[in-house]
Amino acid sequence: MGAQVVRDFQKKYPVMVRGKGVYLYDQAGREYLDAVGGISVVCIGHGVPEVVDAMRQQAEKVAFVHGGSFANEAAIALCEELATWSPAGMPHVLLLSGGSEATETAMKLAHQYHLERGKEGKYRIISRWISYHGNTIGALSMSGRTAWRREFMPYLQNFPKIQPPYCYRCPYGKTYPGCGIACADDLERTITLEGAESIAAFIAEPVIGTSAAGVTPPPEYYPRIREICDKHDILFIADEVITGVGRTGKKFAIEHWNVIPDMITTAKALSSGYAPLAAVILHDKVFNVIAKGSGHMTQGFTYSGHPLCSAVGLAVLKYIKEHKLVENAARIGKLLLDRLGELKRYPIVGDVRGTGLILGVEFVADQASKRPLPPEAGVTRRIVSAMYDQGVMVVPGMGGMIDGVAGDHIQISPPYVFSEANVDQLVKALENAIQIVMRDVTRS
Amino acid sequence: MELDGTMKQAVVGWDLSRVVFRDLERDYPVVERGEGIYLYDTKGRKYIDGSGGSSVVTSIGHGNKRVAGAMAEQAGTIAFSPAHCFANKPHIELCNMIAAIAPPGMQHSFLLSGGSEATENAMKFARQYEYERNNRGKFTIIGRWQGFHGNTFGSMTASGITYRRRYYGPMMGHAVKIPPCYCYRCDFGLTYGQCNLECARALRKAIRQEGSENVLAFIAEPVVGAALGAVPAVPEYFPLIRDICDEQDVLFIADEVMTGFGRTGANFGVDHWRVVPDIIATAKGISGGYTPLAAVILRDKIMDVLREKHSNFRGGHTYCANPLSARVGIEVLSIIHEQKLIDNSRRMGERLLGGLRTLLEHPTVGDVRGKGLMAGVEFVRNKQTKAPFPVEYKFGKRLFEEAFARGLVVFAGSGTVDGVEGDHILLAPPFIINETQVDDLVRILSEAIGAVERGLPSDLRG
Repeated sequence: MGAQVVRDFQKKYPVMVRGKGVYLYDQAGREYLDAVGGISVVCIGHGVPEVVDAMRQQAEKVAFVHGGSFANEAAIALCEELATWSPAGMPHVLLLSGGSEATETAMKLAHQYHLERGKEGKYRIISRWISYHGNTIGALSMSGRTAWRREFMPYLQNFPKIQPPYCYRCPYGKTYPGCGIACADDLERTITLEGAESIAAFIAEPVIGTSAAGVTPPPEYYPRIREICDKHDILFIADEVITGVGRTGKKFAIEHWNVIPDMITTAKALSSGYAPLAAVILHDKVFNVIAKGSGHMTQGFTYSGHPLCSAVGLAVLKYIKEHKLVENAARIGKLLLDRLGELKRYPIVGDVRGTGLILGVEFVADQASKRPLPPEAGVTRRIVSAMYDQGVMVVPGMGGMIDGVAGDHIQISPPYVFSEANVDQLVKALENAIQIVMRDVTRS
Repeated sequence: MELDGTMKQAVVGWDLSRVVFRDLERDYPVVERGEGIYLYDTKGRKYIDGSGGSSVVTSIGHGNKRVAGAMAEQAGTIAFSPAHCFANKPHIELCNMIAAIAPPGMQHSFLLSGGSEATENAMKFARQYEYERNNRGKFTIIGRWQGFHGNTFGSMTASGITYRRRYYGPMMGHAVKIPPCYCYRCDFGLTYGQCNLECARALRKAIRQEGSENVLAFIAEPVVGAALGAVPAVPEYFPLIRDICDEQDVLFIADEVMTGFGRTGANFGVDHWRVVPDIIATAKGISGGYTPLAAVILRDKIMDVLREKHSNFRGGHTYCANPLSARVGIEVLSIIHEQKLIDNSRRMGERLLGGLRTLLEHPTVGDVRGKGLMAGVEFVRNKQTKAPFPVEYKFGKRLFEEAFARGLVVFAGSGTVDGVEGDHILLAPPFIINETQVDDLVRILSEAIGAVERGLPSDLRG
C-alpha cells in the first residue's frame, strides 16, 4: 500500500475484495457482517444486480454532462422521484455528490434566501454541540465536533452552538418530561443573545449520527424548534445525510416529529454507496424567493446532477420501494433496539438508544452515576476490535460526546435488508465483546 | 435505464419543475446519450462537446464501453467499503498508478470525490503538517485573483472569483490574493520580457507583509481555468514561485483539478515548468467524469512528518477511496496510457490553438491562449484599447447560445478583466478528438462569433 494515504497511519488495513447483501469478504476469504452499512451508507446491501445494470446502461449512454448546459433524463427522473419522498411543500431538489456539499449548499441557500428578501445581515448558522455536518470548512464551522475542529480553528466561522437534546446526560441536569425541553429553549436564548438579525438558519440532525449515535430528542423538541425558528425568521435545516431515505423507519426522520423543515440535506442511503450522491430538498418558501428574485444559483459543483450517479440513486429508491425496505428498517430497528436493551444487564452498558436502523450503545464506568470510562482505557476501540475478531463490523462512535473529550460509544447502522438472524449474530458478537472487554479492563 | 410507467410519463412530459437548475430562467435541452466527443439530446440534435462535459472533465470521451463494463463489474463486486477498517484493491492500485506519473518525490495519494474536496483537503494536509512541526501560527492561504479553487467555503476563501464570492462575503475566511500571471492584461502595466516578473515577486511581498510565520501555503492553477479562460503562466513564473516559497518556508499547492492527467499535453500542468510542488490537488480528468473522483498528491516530506508524529489525517469524507470510483480511475488512466492520449492532447492542442488564432481576424476576438487541449478566447469591444463589452450585454452568454444552437458546447466565463467586466470562453474537448473534429469545432465557433458580431448594436461596434 506504499502510495496510498490512509486515515490512520498506524493501522494495518485488511484488503476488502467483495460484498454480497449484508456481508463483506476480504482477500483472505474472511466473512464480515456489515452492521454499519459501510458508514451508515449502504442500505439495500452490497452487490445488487439491479443497480449494477442501471449503472452500466447509464455509463454506456452518457455518464457525465455538466449541469451548466444540459439537463439529463436520469437527474430529472431522480428529482421527480425524490420529490414524492419529501415532506409536503418540499418538491424542489438540487443534486450533489456528498454530505458536505449538501450542507454547505444549504448554508449558502439560507443566506441567499435572506439576502434576496433584503436581509443581508442574516448569514450565521446556529447548530448544536455533539453534532456533525461535514468536513469542508463551512460544514465544519457548523459541526460541534471538538476533535475534528482543533487544528483548523483559524479557518472556522464564528457560528453559535447550542446544547444537544441528549437526555441521558442532560446538559441542564434535568429529567424529561419535567425539563420543559430546556435544550430547545436554548435556541431561543441564543438567538436573542446573538441577535436574530445575524442568524440565517438553525441546522440539526433529527437523530444524532456518529457524534452520539442514535440520540433521539423527545416528541416536543422539533415542534418547539420549528416555532422558535418561525418566530425569529430563521430557516430550519434538517441534516438528514445519515437519517434520510428510510434509515429511521420513515422516509425522512423529521416525519417522526410531524415537522416540516425549510431544507433537507440528504446523502448516504440515497445511493446506498454505489456512487457519490447527495441532495438538498427545498421548501416552496425558499425556492420561490430565489426563483422570483435573482433566479440564479451559484451553489453548483462539477458533478451536480451527474447522470450516472442519478441513475444509481433512482435504481436504489426503486429497490427500496419495491422491497418495502423502509418498513423493514422500522421493524428490524425496533427488534434490534429491544435486543440491545437487554445488554444493560452488563454494568458497562450505560445507554442504548436509536430510531429505526441508526442506533448507539454508550459505555460507562458506573451505571448509577453514569461516570465515563477513562479515555486512555480505550473501551470503544476494544469493543469494536473484539467484534471485528468475530467477523462483525460496527463503527467506533466519536469520542468526546460528553464534553468534547470523554465518552465511549459505538454506532450500529446496518443495511435495511438486515434480517432477524443478522440481529442475533450482531447482538451475540457485542455481548461476547462486552464480556472480553470487561475482563481485560478489570484485569489491567 | 428503464423507467416505470408513471415516471416515464413524467419524463416524457419534460416536467423539469422538480429539478433545481443553476440558471432558473434558461430552458435546458435534455441530453440523451454521448459517444466519443459528441452529445445527443432527446430531440436527436448532435453537439460537439467542446469543453469536456462543459467544465474540462471528459478526457477519454463519452459512452466508453470498457469503463462502463469495469464500473458494473466493480459495483457487482464491492462498490462501497468501510474505509475506517478496510483497504480495497482498486484504491491501492490507483494510488500506485498516480505515484508512477506524479512529479518526483510525490509518491502519496489521498483519494476524494471532487475538486473542492481536493483543494480543501490539500489545505488541511498543509495545515496539519505545519501544526505538527510546531508552526501553529501558519494558517493564511495566499491565492490569486481570478483563480478558482472550488465552491465550498474553504476553497472559495482561497479563490479570487468575484461573482461566486459576492453573496457570501461575511461567510468567507481570511485569505490574501495576489494578481494573476496574465500578460494580455498585466496588472503592473508591463510587457513580458521587460517586466522582471513582478506578478511572481508580488508573492514574496505578500508573504513578508503578512509575516511568513502566519502564511501556510500559496495555491495556484498552472493554467488558469474557469475564471480567466486557459491562461498559462510564462516559463519563468513557477520556478520563481518555487524559489520564493522555499525561501519563505511557505508550501506550494498546485491546483491541477483541471490540468492534471494529460489535459495540457503533459501528465501534470506543472511538468511544463519542471517544478515540483509540495501538494497537488487534482480531479476531473482522473475519472473522465464517469464518476466523482479526486486526489491530493503529497510530497514525501509531508507524509514523513505526519508519520513521525503519529498524526492521523483529520480530513476526509464518506466517499474517500471508494472502490467504485477508484476502479473507474484505473480504467480511465489505463486508456489514456494505452491509447497515448496525452500525446494526442498535445498534438491536437497545437492544432486547436493554431485554428483559434485564425479567429483573431474577427473584430471582437482580443486574445487566444492555451496549453494542450485547454484553450481560451477572450472577447473585446475594441482591439486596440482592449475595452470589454458592458456587463449587461452578456456577450459570453450570447456567444454560448449561438455556438450551442450550432451544435457546439463551450464554457463561457465573465469577469476576465477585473472580476466584473470581461468575457471569455474555455475550450477543452476530450483527448480523443481528431484533426477533422478540431477543424469542425473552430469553424462552428467562427460562425457563432460572426453571428454575435452581426447582432451587435452600432454603439458596441469597434
